[in-house]
Amino acid sequence: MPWAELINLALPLSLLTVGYVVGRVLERRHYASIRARERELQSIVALNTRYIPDGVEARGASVVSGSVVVSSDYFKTFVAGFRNLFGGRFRGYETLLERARREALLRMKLRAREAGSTLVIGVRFHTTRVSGSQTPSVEVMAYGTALDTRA
Amino acid sequence: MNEQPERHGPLLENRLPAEGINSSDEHPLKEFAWLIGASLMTLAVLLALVGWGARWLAPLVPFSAEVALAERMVDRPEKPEHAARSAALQVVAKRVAAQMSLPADMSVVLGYDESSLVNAYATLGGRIRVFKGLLRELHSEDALASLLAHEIAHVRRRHVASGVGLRWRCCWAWCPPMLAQPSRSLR
Repeated sequence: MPWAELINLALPLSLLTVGYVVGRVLERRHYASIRARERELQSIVALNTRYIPDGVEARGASVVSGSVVVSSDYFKTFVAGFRNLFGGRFRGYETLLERARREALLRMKLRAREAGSTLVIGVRFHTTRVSGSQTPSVEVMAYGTALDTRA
Repeated sequence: MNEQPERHGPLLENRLPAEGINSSDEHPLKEFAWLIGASLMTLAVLLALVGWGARWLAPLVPFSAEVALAERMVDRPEKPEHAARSAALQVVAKRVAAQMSLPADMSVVLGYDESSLVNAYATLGGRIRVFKGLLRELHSEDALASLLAHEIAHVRRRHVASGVGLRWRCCWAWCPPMLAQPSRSLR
């Protein structure tokens, strides 16, 4: 009987530990990769204007999009459960969604570069909850109009 | 690929995103510790309130409700060979109860238990059980009377009823060993 109770306690604790350690390592790596690629793709400009800015010669336009699905980890979800009780900032989810938005924007810029564009206008974000799993996950999509600015 | 065409107009650029605005650098374990601490404090306050409520409510519950509960949960058919001993205990208890000005709606029901444990307890509905092991240790009727006075005091002060409330509180705190049958024992 005490063994069964020990397992009842040990299982969530180990899940928490694994979720925290692995989740944190992955998050740091992801941030490092995001920052590196943001510098690399800085020459691709994404704007949310509806119209072609003054002085831009566009020979063509195409829709580009980039999307990413991210999932919370056990630790973040556990902490968020307490947040339901006490309120306040969902800090774990804030970093999760920030990473998702930056990643989606990067993927969109990559598509734009492939299309020979250095300027994407009318950029929008779209976020959707992906249901069907225990831990919350979201899809973030960035899309816009890539202008063909090749001379 | 990256060379910009000749153009006039505003400078179009994306600066690198500012860090630490949409996300926080605060260590996740700090938030975790804070939330766990706050939850434990809330639980402690709730448990204290329920414990206080049980002690406050118990005397307000009609004794007849306790008796009805005892008839369902506590009472077992008595073995015929114990009837005489239980009746003898009942006679002493009745005299002691009369001295203790037990309220009119309260009564005690004595029972004998053949266990060799040195123990006696009062439980719901004024049910008092005395174990053979304890009776062997008592060498006078005065000693038995003082023991019964102790158990009757538990009944009169509604300790058993508030004990039920306190055990219920322990159910909350996931404390299975405390879920034993509601009884007050004398050691």
